[in-house]
Amino acid sequence: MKIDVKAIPLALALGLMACVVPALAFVQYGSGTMDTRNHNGATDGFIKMPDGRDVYTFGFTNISGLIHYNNLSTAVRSGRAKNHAEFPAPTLDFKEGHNEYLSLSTLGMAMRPDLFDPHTIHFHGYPNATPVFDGEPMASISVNQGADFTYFYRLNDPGTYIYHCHREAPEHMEMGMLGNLVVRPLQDDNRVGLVCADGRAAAGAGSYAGFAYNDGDCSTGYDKDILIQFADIDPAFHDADSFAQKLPFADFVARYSVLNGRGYPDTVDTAPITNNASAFSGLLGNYDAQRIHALMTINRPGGERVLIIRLSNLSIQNFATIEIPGLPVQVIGKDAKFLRRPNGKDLRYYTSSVLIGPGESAELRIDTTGVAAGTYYLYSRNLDELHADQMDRSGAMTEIRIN
Amino acid sequence: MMTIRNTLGAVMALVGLSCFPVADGYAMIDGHTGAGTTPVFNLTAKQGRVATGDGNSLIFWGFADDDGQDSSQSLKGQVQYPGPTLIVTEGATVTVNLANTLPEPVSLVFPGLDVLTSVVPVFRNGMKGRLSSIVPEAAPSGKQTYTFTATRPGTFYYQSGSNQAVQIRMGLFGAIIVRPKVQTAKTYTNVFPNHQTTDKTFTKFAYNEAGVPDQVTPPGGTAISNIGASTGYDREFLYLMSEMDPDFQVWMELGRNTAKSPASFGDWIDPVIKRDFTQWKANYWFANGRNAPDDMGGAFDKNLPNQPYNCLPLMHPGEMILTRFVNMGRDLHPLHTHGNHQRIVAEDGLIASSAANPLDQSLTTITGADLSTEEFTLTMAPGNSFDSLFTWTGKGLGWDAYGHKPGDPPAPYEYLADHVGGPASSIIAPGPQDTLTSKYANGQFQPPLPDGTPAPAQAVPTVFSADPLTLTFDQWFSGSPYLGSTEPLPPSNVSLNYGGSSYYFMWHSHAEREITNNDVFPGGMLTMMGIVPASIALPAE
Ligand SMILES: [Cu+2]
Ligand SMILES: [Cu+2]
Repeated sequence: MKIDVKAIPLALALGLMACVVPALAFVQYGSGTMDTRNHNGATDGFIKMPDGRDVYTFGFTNISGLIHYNNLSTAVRSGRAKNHAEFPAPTLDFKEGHNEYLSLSTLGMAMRPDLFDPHTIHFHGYPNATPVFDGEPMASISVNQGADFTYFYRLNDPGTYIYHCHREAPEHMEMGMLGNLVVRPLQDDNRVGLVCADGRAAAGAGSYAGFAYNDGDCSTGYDKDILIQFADIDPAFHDADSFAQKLPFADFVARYSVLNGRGYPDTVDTAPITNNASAFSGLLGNYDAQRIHALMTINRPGGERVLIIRLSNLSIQNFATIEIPGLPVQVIGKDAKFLRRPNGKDLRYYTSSVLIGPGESAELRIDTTGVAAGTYYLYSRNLDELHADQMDRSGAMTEIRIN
Repeated sequence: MMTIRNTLGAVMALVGLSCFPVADGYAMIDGHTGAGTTPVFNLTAKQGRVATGDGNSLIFWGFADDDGQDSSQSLKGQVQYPGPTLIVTEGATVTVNLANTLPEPVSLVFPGLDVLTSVVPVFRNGMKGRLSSIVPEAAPSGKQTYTFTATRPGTFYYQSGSNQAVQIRMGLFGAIIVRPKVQTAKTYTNVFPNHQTTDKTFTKFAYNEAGVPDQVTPPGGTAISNIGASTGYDREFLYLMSEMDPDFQVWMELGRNTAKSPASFGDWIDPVIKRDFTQWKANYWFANGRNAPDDMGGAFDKNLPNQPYNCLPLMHPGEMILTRFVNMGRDLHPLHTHGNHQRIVAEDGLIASSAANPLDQSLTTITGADLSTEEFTLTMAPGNSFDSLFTWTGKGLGWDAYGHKPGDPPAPYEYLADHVGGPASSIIAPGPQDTLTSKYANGQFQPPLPDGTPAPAQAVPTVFSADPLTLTFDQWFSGSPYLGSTEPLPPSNVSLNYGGSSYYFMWHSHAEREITNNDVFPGGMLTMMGIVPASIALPAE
């Protein structure tokens, strides 16, 4: 919703600017050991594509470390959050059994001060949800500029999820308000009585680092796991939003396809990508906007053997067929559900490619036993997702390095 | 950026929603039920116009039901998008008489059904020997009869078998529902462990499951409810997905050289906008033939004369709802169900069964849908149908979503650990309340009671401040975090909430571009699924 600034009464405008909320005591988000919290700010920023192009974004930034209570004015004063949107959003890494208090503060848009859009957080796939904490605005509430809200999730169901802003979702998601979300199973921490069917130790030396699900037999165990999210970008759309133009949904063309916000070869660069925000406003400084790489390594001499890829897709248009040639890929979960059904039916399967649609997730398990050392590739087989605009040998591709 | 559409039709549709709805289309699948073992349907292919969610009007080709449908509001002979939903019973021998008023030959194919009409392609001399239809056709002003046996239950469709690249894009399709012959009541026990009500008795089923055992024991595990193999349901809904490229529809209306007919029929080469089939790109997306927000209006709305069907599921907590998905479009559509996973029990009219021969009803009647899977996003390829089951109880939230005060009894399908006083009922703590601002330390609101004392602590604050500076409330929200409660909404807010105290969850294409209407958000394949408190009656099925 765009608000005509000139039409806002003076008193209201002053109220908006003041945003005075008396500093409250430290938040008691429950003091139990099962209580966890995170705090996201919603704002704008810039990212850099593999061909050097700067793209204006909306997004989230983790402000948990900046403020310890839910008070917007502190976040703003910190000066380190506004216009520091990251792409993808900071990963939310949760554990089954925990009670998560996830706060959202809307920090304003440096490049679009006219844009009074509220924001939300949608925990996509949370089972038995309620509208109030679903972040889907039409059926609940969204958080206006300058306001805060805390979502509460009791985490019962392990798996790979995703999260995104749902306010005017086609726009805000295309603009970059999306991220990875995982709920790790109780079995990670409680291995009493667990016996691994493959003969590995269930706990202690030589055991799996973690599991995708409470499988009871280590069949979803991994030595390493990684969250990889597919998305794509139409720079014309971002430019239009930056200059407050009509948004081209009808003429949408994804020119950049990304994994964790990067096109190849940036996907395998483990360092953050620093943006070029200062070029667009003298008030802005450059910062690390793309912090999450997509490089996978399995160090077998160091005892690693099994990799789990937690794959998701948050494109607003495109499907991706993810291919991983040369490695045995077992699909063990889809949409945060273990593919061994409660009735015992085993629906896991081996494949060399996985079709993943917008809003879907899947867990891929790769056991590298007997695999030749070397570099393997994970990429979208959709050929128009393997370039960065004019630049070939790019797009949705990354590497799995096995030694 | 949100643009509210401005046509009278949409306003009427939305206003209609805020009143208590008529029974038609709110809790059922509208269509034409063919009685007996030899039902006959009389369809006529005609041209009509669809109204889009942003106020545009496009021509389409569709089918009219010459006999009218189950609803008393249906009009005989009115062409509609999509075509009439044909509902028959397993074992029926179905006859469809097709009359054609369109300028080119039309025919009917019934994928997945046992068609008795001989499948003979038609090549026409007038079309220089080109393929006219893949099955016997009704020539312009002509007629043709088709028969098929509804051998197995399931969700199917009919569509044109002539010039499909044009005619299916134009809308010549409709759903077919085959209900199982046996609909004997069956009770599953312990479907909802530790809920106020644990069992489910079904009288309606998507597939035959008379022999499905009540319990199942996974290898090395303990016995659990076998609900995961059941296809029983309380209410059913149809989601027929389709899409249009407005440039193509406009060309069909204005740009096509009919003088060259019929040889060039459908050769979409538009010299003005330089478009052809390879550049076809959908910019309107439909659920049951309407774009959002019109799909959430009433069925048989007189303002949408050629789009009689709506798409607005409603359910009570603990009910099992069957959604029959049919993708009649050209693109894949990922349908995301907010609120919970859905369990996919069949694809393309074939039950997800481990039976040695899944076509054999005597086998699948015992296995049921034992290979069903749960998904939060269902990808539908073109031509796919899926049968899915969805339920919701609010289990495991860590707070009492029904808003109970101490001493209140649990709601009919409430999860007892979350019920007020239960072991998990108050995990979420609102934190200390600031007496000055009424604001809780977690940023949420609960005004003090009239005497100034803080309101009694509930799991989630009872009242969110309708402070427009802080939070935006939208039209499907009750104003309360609790199911069954209503709280004041901002004065400007027109509530679309059923009974004012229901929960709503968006069910929508997660290819989010598809929830716009030609650049206008919101629109497209977007519907709101309502969970209505048990205390508020829903229309009987
Ligand atoms: Cu989503
Ligand atoms: Cu959504």
